[in-house]
Amino acid sequence: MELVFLGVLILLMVISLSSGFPVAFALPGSAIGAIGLAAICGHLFAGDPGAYFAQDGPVQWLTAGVTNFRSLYWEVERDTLIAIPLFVFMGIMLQRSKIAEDLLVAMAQLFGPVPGGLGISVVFVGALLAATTGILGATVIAMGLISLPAMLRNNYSQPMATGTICASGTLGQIIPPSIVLIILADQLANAADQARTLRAQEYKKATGEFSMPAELDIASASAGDMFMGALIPGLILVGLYMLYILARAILKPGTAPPIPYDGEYDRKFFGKVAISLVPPLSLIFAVLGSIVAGVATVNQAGAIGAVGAIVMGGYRLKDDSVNRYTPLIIFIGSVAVILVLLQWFDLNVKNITSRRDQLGIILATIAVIVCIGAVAWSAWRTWKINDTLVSVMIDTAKTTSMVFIILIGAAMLTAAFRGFGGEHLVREFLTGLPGGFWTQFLVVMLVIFLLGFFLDFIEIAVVVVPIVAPILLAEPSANVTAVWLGVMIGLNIQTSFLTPPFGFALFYLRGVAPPTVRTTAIYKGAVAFIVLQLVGLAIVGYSPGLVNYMPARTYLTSETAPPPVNPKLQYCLEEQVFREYDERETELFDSLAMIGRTDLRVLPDDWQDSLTHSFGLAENTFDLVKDIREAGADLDGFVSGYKPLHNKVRQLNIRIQSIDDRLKSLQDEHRQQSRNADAAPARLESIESEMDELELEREMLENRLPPDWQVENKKYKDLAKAEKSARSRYRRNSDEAYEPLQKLLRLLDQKTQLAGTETAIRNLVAVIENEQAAIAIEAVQSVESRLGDFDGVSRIKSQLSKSRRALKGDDPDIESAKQHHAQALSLLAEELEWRDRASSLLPALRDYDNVIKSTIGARLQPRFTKARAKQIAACRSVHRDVSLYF
Amino acid sequence: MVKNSHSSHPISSLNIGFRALAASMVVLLFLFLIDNTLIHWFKWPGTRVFLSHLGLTGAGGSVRELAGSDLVRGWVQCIASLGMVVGILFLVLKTPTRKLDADAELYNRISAFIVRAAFWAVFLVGLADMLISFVRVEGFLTAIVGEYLTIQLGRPIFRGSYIHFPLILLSIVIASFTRTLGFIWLALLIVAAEFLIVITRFVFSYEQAFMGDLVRFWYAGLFLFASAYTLVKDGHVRVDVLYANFSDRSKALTNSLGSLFLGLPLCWNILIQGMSGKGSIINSPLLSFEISQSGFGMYTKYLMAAYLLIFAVSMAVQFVSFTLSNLSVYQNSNRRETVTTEEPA
Repeated sequence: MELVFLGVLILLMVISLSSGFPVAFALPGSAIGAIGLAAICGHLFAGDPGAYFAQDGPVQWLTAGVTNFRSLYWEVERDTLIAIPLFVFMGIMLQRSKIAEDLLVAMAQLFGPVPGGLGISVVFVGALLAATTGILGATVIAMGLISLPAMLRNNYSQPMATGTICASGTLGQIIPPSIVLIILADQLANAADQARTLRAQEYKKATGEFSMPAELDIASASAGDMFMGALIPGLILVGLYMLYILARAILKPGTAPPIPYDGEYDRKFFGKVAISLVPPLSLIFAVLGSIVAGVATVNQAGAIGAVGAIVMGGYRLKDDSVNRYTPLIIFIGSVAVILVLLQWFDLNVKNITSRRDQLGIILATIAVIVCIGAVAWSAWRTWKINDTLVSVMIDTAKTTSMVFIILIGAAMLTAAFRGFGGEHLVREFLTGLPGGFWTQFLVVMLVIFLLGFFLDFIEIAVVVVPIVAPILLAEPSANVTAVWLGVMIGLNIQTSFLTPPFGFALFYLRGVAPPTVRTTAIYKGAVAFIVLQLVGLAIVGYSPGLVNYMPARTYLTSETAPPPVNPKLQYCLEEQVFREYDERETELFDSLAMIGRTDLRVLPDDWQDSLTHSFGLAENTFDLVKDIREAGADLDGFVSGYKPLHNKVRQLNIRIQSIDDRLKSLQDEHRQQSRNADAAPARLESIESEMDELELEREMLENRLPPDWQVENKKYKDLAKAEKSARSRYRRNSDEAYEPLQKLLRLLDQKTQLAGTETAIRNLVAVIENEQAAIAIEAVQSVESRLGDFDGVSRIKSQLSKSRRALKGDDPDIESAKQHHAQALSLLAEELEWRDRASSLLPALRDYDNVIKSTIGARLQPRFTKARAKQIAACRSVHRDVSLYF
Repeated sequence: MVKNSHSSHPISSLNIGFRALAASMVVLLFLFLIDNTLIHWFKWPGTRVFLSHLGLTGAGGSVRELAGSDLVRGWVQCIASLGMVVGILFLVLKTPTRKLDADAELYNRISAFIVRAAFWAVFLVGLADMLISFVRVEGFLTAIVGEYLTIQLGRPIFRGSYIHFPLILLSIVIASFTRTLGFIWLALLIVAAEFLIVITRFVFSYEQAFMGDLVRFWYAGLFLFASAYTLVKDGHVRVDVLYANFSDRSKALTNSLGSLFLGLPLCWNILIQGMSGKGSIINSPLLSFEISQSGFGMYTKYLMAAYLLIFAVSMAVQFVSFTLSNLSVYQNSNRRETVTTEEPA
């Protein structure tokens, strides 16, 4: 019955959406309407308002809707959305202060004389500036108004001109920092969480183990990841567009003729070009650069962008004053001063230790005040001149509200959709499709493509993505990343916007194009770019590394990067390390032999033993690597024949599982109904007959399980287990082979600093003898905490704390305290003495460390080297089929 | 509809009907809020309990016997509510020639006033609380206001009652004397607050929870408060495949029907689900002065629960206004069409 109301929900949605009432209210309105209808019908016909819901009742789903609504700003995890008003502010400020227009004009003048130059400039500017607004209509209209007349006047063919404008207008959706990417990231992060749960459940069912290994986890997507993931595909598209225009212009000069520039190429010209070109470019560079470098969060980059736009608006709007560029110059100057100060001083306000620090802070504060002053001056200008600031703020508020209220409305719709079992239905449908992930993916993409004719990007992102993305992401055979999926969806919607006869971009352009431009010309112009889009989609779909590499690289080289020992990274780390074993085998052996010959007798006995032992283990490593390779080769050899069988059984099992789920819910309903005295017998009968049918189907499916499945599966599991245990043997061995060396080196490094504590400890004697017990205790404690920074001094510390404890209480035992103190002192002397002696070994140990630290010691390094991080990122950006684990 | 245009009388009686409906919808909204406030903050019995006491809504609800002052309060509230409804209907009937537009403008102003007051409250409370949080986290608070107040200011109830509430009252006063939109400044304030984080983090390596809280506090306000204005200015995106080709009359019809059957249910759903009991998602944070988990952040999270309330109320009033103004457009274009068809005859 709930499916009827799912139909009602969709019907209401279609009616209310096509009536043209704002989407933000049409979605939740129809959701509430459908839930209300179901509740009333349930109350009237079944005596229970919750009767026609897949689970729970109307109140729960309505409340879930409101809770989803609130979570938009209530949960810290969704902070990434804060970037939206910031980027909208930046984009609108750039448009209102005509920076965007200047950029186009300057580019056109610069590239005009090249064949197709004007078209190329339009693509370039579209990519740069559309990016910042991300609202499709606004960009296409603005580009249409500015560049279409110019192109037509200069004898561009109509299809060429309109196609270029539509395509560049839609580019902004996919090139960062576009707000739709932020919304996609928000939705995908959520979807990845759900997919992770789904996959973990599946893993548990398939293997019986409770916790899924971390390397099978699904990579999530943050706004920064989406930006970086979309960057290269976006640039590829820009390149394709430009190449196409250039090629057309050369092959058929009539379609995109060069435009001779009338003025002179003098200093004034280049000055003008520079002033309209350099600031916007450096702003985009600063914003994207700070994200890609992993320095700033997306929100902070957004604030930088917005402030930069204010400063630029400040000089662009004021065009008749000697002081025109003064705020800009002050701004740049103060930022430069701050950057220099950061190099020279330690400006951490929480850690001021010297006069020099104070001086630095004071200077930096002055520079910051000057910088803020320059921004405020610019903001004041934008406020005073043509009310620009107010109109920017109004538009920012309107656009932001428009975006977010849709998000909110969609949250309520999703609640209703779930309430009527829609999500389950979609999952059943998708997983029931033959052909695995790629069929599912193509179906979803086709649906999104068609929806793109009627709905804008944001609506699709918030309505469709939460429903289908978890299913696609959970699929282990393709094991795609959330970022890749997001970028593919983005490219797809963008293509949809270009496709006649419904494409959004075409509509918008039709609205602003002069009547002499025929609609068929607009359609014709779009076709070539659709082909280019499809080429782009194919390239990105075929090589996911283009999307995944940048985010992975930034993540692994950032300050918050996981250490190499992180289990998620082992597979890729070992691929790299094993290759290095082959390449540097002789060097490693030589170094091992050399260190084996080194005389270790200057070390204490226990250190001698553990080091010698570790050298032996290091030699074992090579055999263990060989073991892994043999086990891996066995496994691979078996898998090539086994995989089709595995996948076939997996498909069958999924279907059996879903029948079981259905059976269980039918059983529950049956039990309920039979307890209910006045239940309709017809209902009971229909349940029973459905159950019988399902049982039959289940049996049929079970019969289709291949007879050799058990045996083959056992073989596979044994081989996989052998490989896994070979790997864990290797990991344990290499850790044990490296750890002693690492520890010893650390001890020797700390030698001089440790010696520095000696006087402090020695001076304690006087304190213990002469001062009050409380003061002495404090003094001892402070020395103890100083020792806390060192390794291998636990015995000294324990003597000191014994001494401190002796001083406690009403009757402090000064003698005992002194005794323990003396012991601590002598222990320290001993410690220092052997460390001093052992220093003679340092060069040899270091040489050894340098040779093995990227191989045997790779796992235990505190962080990746940059080169290694890049290798790992490249390895992780390829989608790896993990279906055999399930 | 054609028959209404034969004389002006049926139109105005229809108008009275529309206006009365609109007025009662707005009054009901405020009665609901008053009822909720009285129940949860002043421990009154509330309309529902009182009606079930009288046996008027016996079925389903649990009947609670009221006695003493509760009974008196019940009567007072019930009579006052009835009085308000009757009063507003009386006012509508007394001004039969008043245009739909005039009422629409009135409700528009009410909605704008709510949003303006909310903006000033969010602006002032945000600044004040940020300052207090900053001084507190740096440990200067004791030096400025003494030991007792420092402890008190660390308690959400105290800070809410003695810092936030007076500022909110002040905001209502400011909102009554100003006529600006207000909320648009939140766009610039967010930029400023986030830029402050950029500077303190990258220059002075200083970052505290309250700074992020301030951005969040203002940003949530921006899009929720801006919604009503965006509706008036037609800034909410529509699927205009069909809508773009509609006549003005059909557009007006879409807008008024949509407001009544899609928009208002959303607002009421938020209010009812958010305020149906002590543990509901608007009431519960407000009653307990909920704060964020970060400890030394701002103490304003409970006010962000009230954003939902501001959104629902301002939107509900705005939808009523929007319905009336669109009905007016509908009628006018209707009459014009009828006039042009009647002329040849």
